[in-house]
Amino acid sequence: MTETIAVLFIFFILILFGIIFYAKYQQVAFKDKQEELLAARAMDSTLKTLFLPELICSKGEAEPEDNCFDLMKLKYANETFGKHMDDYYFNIFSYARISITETYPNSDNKWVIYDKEKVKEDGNGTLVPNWDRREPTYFIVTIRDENNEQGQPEYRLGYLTVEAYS
Amino acid sequence: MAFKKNKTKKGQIQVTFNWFYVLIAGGVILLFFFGIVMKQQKVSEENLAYDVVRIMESIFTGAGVSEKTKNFIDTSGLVDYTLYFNCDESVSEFGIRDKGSPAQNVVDPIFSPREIKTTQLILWSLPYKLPFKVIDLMFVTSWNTKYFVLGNNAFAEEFLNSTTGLNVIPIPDLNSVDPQKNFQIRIIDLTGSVQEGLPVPDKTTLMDDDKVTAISFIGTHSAQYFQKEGNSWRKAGDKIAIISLGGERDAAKYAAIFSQDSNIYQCNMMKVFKRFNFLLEIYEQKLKEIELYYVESPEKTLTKDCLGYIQAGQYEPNLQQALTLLKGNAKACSILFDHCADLIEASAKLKEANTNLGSKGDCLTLY
Amino acid sequence: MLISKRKSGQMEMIGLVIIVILLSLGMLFMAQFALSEDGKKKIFTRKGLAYSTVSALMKTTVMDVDCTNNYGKWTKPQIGKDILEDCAKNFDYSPGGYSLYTCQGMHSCEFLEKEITLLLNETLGEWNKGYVFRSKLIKATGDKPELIMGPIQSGGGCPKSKERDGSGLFPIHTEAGLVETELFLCD
Repeated sequence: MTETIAVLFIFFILILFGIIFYAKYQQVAFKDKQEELLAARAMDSTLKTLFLPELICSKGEAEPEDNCFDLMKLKYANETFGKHMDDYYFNIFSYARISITETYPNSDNKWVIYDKEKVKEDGNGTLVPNWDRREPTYFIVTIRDENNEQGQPEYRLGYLTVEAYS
Repeated sequence: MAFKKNKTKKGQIQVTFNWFYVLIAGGVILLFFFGIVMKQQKVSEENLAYDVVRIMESIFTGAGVSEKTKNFIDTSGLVDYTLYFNCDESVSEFGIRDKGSPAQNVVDPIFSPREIKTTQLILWSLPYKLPFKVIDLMFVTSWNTKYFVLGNNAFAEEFLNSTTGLNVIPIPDLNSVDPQKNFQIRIIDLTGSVQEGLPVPDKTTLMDDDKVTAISFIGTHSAQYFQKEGNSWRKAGDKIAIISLGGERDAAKYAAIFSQDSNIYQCNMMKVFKRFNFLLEIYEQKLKEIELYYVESPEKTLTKDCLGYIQAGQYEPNLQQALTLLKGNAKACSILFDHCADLIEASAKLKEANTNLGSKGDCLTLY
Repeated sequence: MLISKRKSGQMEMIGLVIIVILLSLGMLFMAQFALSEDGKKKIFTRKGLAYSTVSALMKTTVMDVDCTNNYGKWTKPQIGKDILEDCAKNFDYSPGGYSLYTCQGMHSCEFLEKEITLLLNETLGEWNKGYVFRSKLIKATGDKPELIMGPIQSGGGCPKSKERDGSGLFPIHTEAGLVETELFLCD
């Protein structure tokens, strides 16, 4: 009789350990899944940005150029995105920061075309950041400048950074 | 002796009682686990629906950017479920019928039948230009949605050539329509044979009404949807305007073919025109910069009169006038679809002005 | 006594069954981690980045003020179309010898190697990506490819033993033959 009780007691202790272990595993797995979804969101936003009609280098009736941003459009893109952020572009990019940085020839040039940070109101009514981390994705692009002295398009080197807020 | 008898009776009662106990206890335990399994099955189905919708969203993103490529998605795991697509007030919705929460999309135009039940989903996208690229139009269909092309003209030939891999066949007349075991059929009428009141093809009489539809193209810029009602055709909604500049692989025309009805078509096209307005803002700024470039450096236009095709006053059409007209029409179009037909002429003028500028050789073009 | 021994045997069996169940569950968890493969999205990102890097590099216009052509005139050549082609044609005279384009007083091959090393370092290098960049010249069909630039690498390069994705070959037809450029990325 006592043996049976002892065995059952140990059995239930083991079950308890199993449940605790599974709960911990679920926590870690959930966090991993969140990170995976964040990375996927950053990648999706990068893909969408690379093919945005608002930025791509068009060539008349021909196919647009790959991985290329038109500098004349780029300069005014953030104005349009900012104006229609809440009613339209947020549905494309969600909480993210999208910027294009020139590497060559002038590394001082940077354009932040979209920035929607996750915020919350603190006790005083001030807006404070409400995100844990930013997942950046990089893509190297070419920036076409047609507005130059030569009259021929010049291609600058740069990169696109898409940071998704978690 | 009496003592022995009592003991035997006690054993009989105890054994019988044990059997009752085992039966009841066992039954309760079985019911408990059975209940858990049923609950788990329901939860799994909800999770599946959620996962499917999220994965489809991701697939739509990929298909949207890989324009002109057809994507064949294996959905054999979903053969028992019906995917549904809807659009209302420029908000698309898609999901699994009666399961989970659907996904909503206010940006991407998705042209599809209202319901699809298949083992293979087909996604295709084409760029929509008016005259510069506005957005990719996404077409959703399946291997068991059959398209019959009635008519023998340049568009029919082009459509048949570009839809390889899709379930599309040409037919000489309406009597040749044979749905076989397809889930639904669409007749693309280029001859005006489908008319209200006329009988539907014989082999389609046993199909559900909403699974037998037709689209009849009237002229170059309009079309009418028809749906089977009993044994005859009925007009489904008003005539729709195809807002496009024509040419090869006319995305707007293809969108009309893949849409279930005029509601899905117009609802999604309104998303396109909303985006069109935003793009015009950017092109307006670009035009100002191009104009400034030539105004500040007149020597660049000594041999080629670039500015004449950009500024109003000299040549017709010119970029400035065409863009202003297009902007005005686009604004009206975003309020009411009926005004969108005016976009065709305005965008044709812009295209002509841009082409003239490009033909000069060194002039900067708007797009 | 006999009855007790029988009962003890049953208890031990149950204990063994529980241990077997626990071990199986443990192995299942381990298998889950061991068998998980690299996400398809990760491969797509690496391939896409490699492709976009080479594509952008080839199109880049050299805007160094100290770049002149054969006639001594200031010029803005493109890396792929002009300078790489020039390097292929005049590779035998590198370094220090004749080339159509002279940037910063250097032969086109020398300048190109320096410039591409700098550009890749400022982008992929900054993001701690391992990479290897090469340009090869195939003078005629069937000839052995001749390395005209590189390997320009970082992070230990990308040997075949490492998980890597390539940009694909970017061929340029020149008078000297076919120039093939490729970039491999590995994490």
